[in-house]
Amino acid sequence: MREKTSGCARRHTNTDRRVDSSGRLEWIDGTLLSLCVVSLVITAASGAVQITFGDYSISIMEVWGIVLDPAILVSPTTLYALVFGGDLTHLTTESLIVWTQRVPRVLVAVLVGSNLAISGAIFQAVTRNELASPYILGVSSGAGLAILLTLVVFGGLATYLPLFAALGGALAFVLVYAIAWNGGTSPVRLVLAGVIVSTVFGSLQTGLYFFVDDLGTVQNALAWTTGTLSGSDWSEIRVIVPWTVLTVVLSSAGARQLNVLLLGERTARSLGMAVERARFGLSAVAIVAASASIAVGGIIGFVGLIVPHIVRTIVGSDYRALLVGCLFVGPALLVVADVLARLAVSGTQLPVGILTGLIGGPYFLYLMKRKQNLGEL
Amino acid sequence: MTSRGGRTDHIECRDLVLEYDTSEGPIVDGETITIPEGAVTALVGPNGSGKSTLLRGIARELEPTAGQIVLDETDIGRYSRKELARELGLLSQHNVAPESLTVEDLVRRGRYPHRRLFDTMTEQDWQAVDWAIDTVGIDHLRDRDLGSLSGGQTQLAWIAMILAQEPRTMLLDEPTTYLDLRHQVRLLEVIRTLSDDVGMTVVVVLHDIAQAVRVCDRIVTLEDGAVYDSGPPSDVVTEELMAEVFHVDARVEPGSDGMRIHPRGEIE
Repeated sequence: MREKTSGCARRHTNTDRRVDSSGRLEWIDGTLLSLCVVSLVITAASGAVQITFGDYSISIMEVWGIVLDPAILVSPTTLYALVFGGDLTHLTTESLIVWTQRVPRVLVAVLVGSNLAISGAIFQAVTRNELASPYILGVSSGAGLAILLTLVVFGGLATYLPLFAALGGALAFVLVYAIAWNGGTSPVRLVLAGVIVSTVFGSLQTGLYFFVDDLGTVQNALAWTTGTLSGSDWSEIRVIVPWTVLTVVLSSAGARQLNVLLLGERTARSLGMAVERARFGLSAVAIVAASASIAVGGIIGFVGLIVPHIVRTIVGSDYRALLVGCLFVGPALLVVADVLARLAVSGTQLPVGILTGLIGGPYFLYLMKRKQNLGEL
Repeated sequence: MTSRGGRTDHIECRDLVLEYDTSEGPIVDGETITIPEGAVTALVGPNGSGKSTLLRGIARELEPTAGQIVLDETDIGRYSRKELARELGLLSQHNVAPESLTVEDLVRRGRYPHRRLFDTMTEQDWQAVDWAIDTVGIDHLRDRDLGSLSGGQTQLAWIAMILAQEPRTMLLDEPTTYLDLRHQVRLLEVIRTLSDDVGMTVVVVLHDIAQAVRVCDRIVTLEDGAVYDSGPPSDVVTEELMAEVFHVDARVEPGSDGMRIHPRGEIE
């Protein structure tokens, strides 16, 4: 099925290609465009559901009256106060709920979804493993340990939890690289070093649970280590937007290196690539994306693993197209999952990581049944 | 470009010693080898004789322990990565690429050393890609996914990728191994074309001495990391060589299309 779609869409005649080649974007084809449009529609539709419904009951008409309220939309001072914090006392309770809770939550899901998807896509090329996730080089265990340490040992510093989580993840990555380095690295050494660090940090993290005597702290720790977008507001958007811009720019610049890296180290080297430098640089970009996501949403699993996989089966393995696809499909998946996490069980909110796991597992089951050689890029 | 007659030395290995970190002694031990420009040079020898290691040295995948490798009278250590990639193309023994990649996409990757960070494909890049695909003769496979190709077709696609690099020298590590007979023959023809029509310098490691004799202008035989003999196949390939280097009792006779080798049995 994949051969058919990608094959047909890419078949150009020679003259077509000549025309295309004069432009910069000759790799954007119908398949990629439809994928992006469909993802946008899904994101918008589920975002609308997320904004419309909730525990605080506001009628549908009223919600959309608030969302489209010209007094907010065309008022620079109100918008500024929303995004950068400020005086919002002139708004009604309903407006505040819609604009400071529901709308930012959808936006955070969009940003986290694209960061995780791009991060996973990069790691799948760097480790040359289709089943790699943003967390393959120890990020999740480092962040998890940092979260537990902060909550259990350094309780007074809990306000800095997002920062510590992101730093913990980045530190674990540096440690993994140091362990894997032996005059150079290889995908296998990196993955093995990732396993080593994850195992040790994972044990320490689990061990720390035994020193918690307060159920609230345990639940908080669980929410962070499973990943949740509950309570997201504009301050989180302020945290993640700069990093998202950075990763999108750097990963687009790295798309060509990723494409060449996919041909194996020897070939990449013989094509004149500085393989070690490119691999470290690209990994670092992916780590920034993953850490930024962790800082706002905790350790949300499966999104970074599944999304690049889905996109690859649809648009093929050209990283320029793949990264663009990830930028749209990641948000779609995470917004849908977050709607379910927030609204599926009335009266309580599940961590979104539980939902992404519940969606991710069966997807891989489906892949296993359909594909013989799972795991090859 | 210069024809086969040119015969200036393109690559020289001077007193070259190559070894791996893990190996006990040198794999290639103090050898001096010259590779003529625009001709096909075959490296042959039994398993473990150092022929693939020598190729890796020439490709700068392995730092020489001693001695030097000189390309156009400049030590290869002095070329930048991309400069070297524009001079030398390397076909490894095992190649990996995503199955969903089309042949054209693979060939386009060969333009990597010619482009800068944000460059897109220029007209010149496309011409190189078209030329590479045409030279190897795989125009009909251009839009096929690599996953749908046979081993021989895949090998040709890889050679086209390296041609798109527009290197002046092509290094091939046992390119015919694992191919069926038809594709082996086809591949040797392509190698000949590169030298005859394009004037490219080709260094090819071959397992099969009969294939080497068919395709090369010059043959270098290696035994335990040392050059046993080198020169035109008609001078080098003798019954004595077959016995001493390959430990095979063989009858060697000149034929209408090159040397003929008839192995009769193993020499203990």
